[in-house]
Amino acid sequence: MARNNHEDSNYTGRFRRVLTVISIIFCLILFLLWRLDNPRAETIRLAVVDKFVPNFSFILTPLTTLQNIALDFRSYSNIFELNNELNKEIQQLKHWKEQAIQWEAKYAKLLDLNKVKLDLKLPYTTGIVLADTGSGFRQHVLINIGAKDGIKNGWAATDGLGLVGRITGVGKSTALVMLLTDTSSKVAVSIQPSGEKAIMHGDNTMFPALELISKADRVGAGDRVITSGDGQVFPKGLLIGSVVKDSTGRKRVSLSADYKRLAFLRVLRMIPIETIQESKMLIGTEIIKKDSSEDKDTLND
Amino acid sequence: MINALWGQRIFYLLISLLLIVWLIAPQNSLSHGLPTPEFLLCLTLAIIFRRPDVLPVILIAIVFLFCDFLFNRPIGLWTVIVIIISEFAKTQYWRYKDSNFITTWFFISFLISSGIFSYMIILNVLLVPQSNFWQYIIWALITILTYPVIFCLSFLIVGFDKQSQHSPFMRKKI
Repeated sequence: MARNNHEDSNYTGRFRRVLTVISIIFCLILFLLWRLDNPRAETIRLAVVDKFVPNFSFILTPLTTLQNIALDFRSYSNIFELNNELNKEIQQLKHWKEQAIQWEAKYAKLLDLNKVKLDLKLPYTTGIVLADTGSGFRQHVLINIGAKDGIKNGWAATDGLGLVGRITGVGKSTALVMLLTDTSSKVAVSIQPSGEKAIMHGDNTMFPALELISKADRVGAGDRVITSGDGQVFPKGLLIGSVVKDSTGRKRVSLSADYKRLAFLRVLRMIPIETIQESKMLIGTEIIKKDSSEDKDTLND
Repeated sequence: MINALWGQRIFYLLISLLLIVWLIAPQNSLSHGLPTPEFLLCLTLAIIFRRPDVLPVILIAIVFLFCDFLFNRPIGLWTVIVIIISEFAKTQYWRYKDSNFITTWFFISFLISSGIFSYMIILNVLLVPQSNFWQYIIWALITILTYPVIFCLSFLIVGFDKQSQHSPFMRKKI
């Protein structure tokens, strides 16, 4: 039978075995911690990431540039066609721009007539994407703004066009954004124009699935998908994408955000929505009094 | 001899660091659509089957734990699986040291797929939200197919010479 015949190898063998067992136990403890006390483990992870990834930027930046150049090269090949198409699109856009300006004026006039109080526009902070997930199994990106810039957990991130995901971890100068395609991402959406509510569930493909649609027959391919604001995770009315059907007929969402090229992300600073808890609060007699007196003042003016 | 060993270890660390940085670089076209092959596992196994004494278990644990942290994987689980696979591979080294590449590749395919499926099963048992079964199969297949490429890369680290006779992993048949 095979046998070790070296004198010190017996010692090294035993030493090796002890080291192996120790490292396995250590990792298992870490894994159990991750499973049982997930928020704390994610905090530890972010501390590690926060410490190391910004230091990689001297390699990461040239790598990113190289990859972008490679992508651009691919588009050089059909630049002529692209140019023609773009010219055509510019023509159309000019038309739309004109239309938009007219509508905007009309809209402003109507709003003024109705004395509508508008929601505050959400202010945002823009961050640069530092790193991607190394494996295709958990979909996250790391951005270069964090607690230092006042970023908080749960805020929405967009790429300027559509929703990309939300902040799931904040380090000192980095923050983790869970993409909509991640398996643990579930978003309450509303499908326009029918207004049906549904849940969009990421499943590691580029097209997250729509679940729990209340009246599925009222939803067709091409319908717009926006956040519904239910559950107060995302603000209401952010564009996500449009409905598509896969080969099995299941409804999925084609995302508006350009997931292939996530370079800059806007993090929307969300103001917590006030909740009305006591019914008394609604009938604030003092406020009504104050309002009416103000009205009188304005009338007098 | 000892210095050469440490040189190889440092080189392994450098190459794995480069691989990690390349994998987490943004806009990596690999990370969307198809799952990324497990390059580091391939590299580790390739080196183990050429020179089992180069990679101590601590080095493997550090590299893979670091990956778990950076890749947003469940912390520790994949490291445990890789440690078990690589230590098992070290004990089997003497069977495969004289066999040809294809035989070793078969054995390594077995190791990789059993590792990936145990990973999937453990995560499913612990009710961690997971992607579907097919993606794991594709992941295992891609990783197995990547192995020959990474095997060539391993020559960079451990060179072409055969395993020295003084290693504790060299077993003699009596």
